[in-house]
Amino acid sequence: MIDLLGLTVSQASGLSQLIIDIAMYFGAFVIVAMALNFQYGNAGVPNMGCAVQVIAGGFTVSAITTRVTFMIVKAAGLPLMPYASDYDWVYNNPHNVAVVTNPFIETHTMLGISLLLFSLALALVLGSAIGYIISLPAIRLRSTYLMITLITMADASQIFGRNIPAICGGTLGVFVPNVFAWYLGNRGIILAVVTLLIGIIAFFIFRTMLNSPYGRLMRAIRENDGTVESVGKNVVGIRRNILMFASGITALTGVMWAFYASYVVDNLFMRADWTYWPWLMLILGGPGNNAGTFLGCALIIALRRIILISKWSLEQYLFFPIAYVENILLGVLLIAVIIFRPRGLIPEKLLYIPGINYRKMVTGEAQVDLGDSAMPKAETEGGEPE
Amino acid sequence: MSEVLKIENVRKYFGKFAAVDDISFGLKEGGIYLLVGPNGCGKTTLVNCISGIYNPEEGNVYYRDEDITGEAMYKISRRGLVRTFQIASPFLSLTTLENMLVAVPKNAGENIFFSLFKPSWMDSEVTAVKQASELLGVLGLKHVWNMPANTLSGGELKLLEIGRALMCGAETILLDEPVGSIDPKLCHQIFNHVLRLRDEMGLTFLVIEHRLEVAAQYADHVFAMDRGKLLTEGTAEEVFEDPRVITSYLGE
Repeated sequence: MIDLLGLTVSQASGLSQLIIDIAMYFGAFVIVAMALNFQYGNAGVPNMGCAVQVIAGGFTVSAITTRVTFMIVKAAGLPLMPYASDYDWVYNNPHNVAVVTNPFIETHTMLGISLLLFSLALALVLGSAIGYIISLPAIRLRSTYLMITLITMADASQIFGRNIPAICGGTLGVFVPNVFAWYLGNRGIILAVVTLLIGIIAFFIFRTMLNSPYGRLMRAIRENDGTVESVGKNVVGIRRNILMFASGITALTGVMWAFYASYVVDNLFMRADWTYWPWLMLILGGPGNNAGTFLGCALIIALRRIILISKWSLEQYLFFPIAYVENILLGVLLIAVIIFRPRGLIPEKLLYIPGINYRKMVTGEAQVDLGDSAMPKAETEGGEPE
Repeated sequence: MSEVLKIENVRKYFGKFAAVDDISFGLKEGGIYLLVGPNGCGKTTLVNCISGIYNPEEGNVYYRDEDITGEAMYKISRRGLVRTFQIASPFLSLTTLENMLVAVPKNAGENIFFSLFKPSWMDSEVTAVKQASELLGVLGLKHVWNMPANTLSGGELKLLEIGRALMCGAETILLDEPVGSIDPKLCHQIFNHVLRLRDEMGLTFLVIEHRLEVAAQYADHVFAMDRGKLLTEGTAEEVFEDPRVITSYLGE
């Protein structure tokens, strides 16, 4: 029974709830945006199917973690209503989760933590499997066609979710167990903390990979994949590894988001939310560097909040439904960024691998400044990298 | 000398059009071979068939007596048969040194998991940098080692193409127009590099080139192609005096 800030749901003021909310959003979206930066910003794989990677995590929680929890609870001898058939699975779900399972986890801290770790590990595996599947068209298709294919894959997986009740209860959705039920304070806090923690770990993993010969190889593939192939590197295999790894990490967001919503339904993972906004974050911040990703992520989340809070004051001036305001404004922002800052707010700085004295090895002189390669490209090249 | 690369009756069609029509020849180890022919006669298509970009419809390609027909380009490259491109294709935003380093075979740090553990790839990286630095010295590119490839001149890019091929451990190099759009002085420099690499490292070269006046003096053996077929072969003098070759280049 732990309470980090001494806040309970009833005590949380509007402001602290807003901060917790924003922290959660930032944690979740920054993982997706960093993974997208890994795939598109560095390796040039234009993954327009981020949503399907997130869905892999979300559906893992609804379809597998929930059932596993039910099995454990049933084995503990608690009176669970039947959940085997589709009908029972959906209609008995609120009772099974809220009345039976959550109070059980409340008194069994280790069960809650184990379920969380189990979900994350499983999502990593299933996310990678999804990454493998979406890498199959990546063998034959490039840029635009690959993007279109991945968009449809993400939409198709949502349609599967909507029409196969066993996954996430069809159109009604299912509640998922509250694996943080043992935490008596505001569960938003612990969710945000765990999500940010995953984000920090993911950041260090991505950074280490990008600052290695592997990162250099990825950038080479982005620049010219044919040449990489001609020097004996299996580009298809490398692209596949990149997609699988990034999918696994992105699926972790899906898990945390499912627990945050405590409910999974197909449109929890909308294409706009989980594919377009991470892309906007990346393009706004500047593809190819994590600092840009962070900045883009923070700005878009702040902007979306501001729009959400203040859009009602525009209502009297609008001739279209107010629900579209957010999409229109963010779409205008995307166009403006592409016209005025095609390389993003923080353009990519290409550096040598830090900590290795290349100058000394090549010229014999001591290196004064790491990665001081002349970068006139930053100013001359206008277009968005393909 | 044994034949290092042998192609037998290779045919490649685009629709009904035979871009490469029943071509056979062999390259002996340590030779500099020139492949000439007018534009569109199928030279690059032939190189694409050899290097694995295209899978020929008929015929076989053997490298060191092993059938490599239809193998993926990266596998062929790992065998030591490496090609360069007609239009220099460097990694534009990477520096000259990094362009070379990408080509290092079996770089431990290029594994998705080992890349996380710096000590595991540090040694191979240092070895690679030393090798790259040496090669840049040989090719006279050391002064631009720290420049992004998009700031290099046309001639430097052509040298970088050769350097990259050497870096990945090539033993036979298919040079696609190594001196296209290069001034005469640098042309000779590039071919002198080719000669030196052949003499010092025993490499085999198949060079596609239009600049006959430059290339001919460096070639041991010349193949002339026209409309997908091998017209003739022999020493430079023999081939360039052949009336069919003259007709194919200059017209009737």
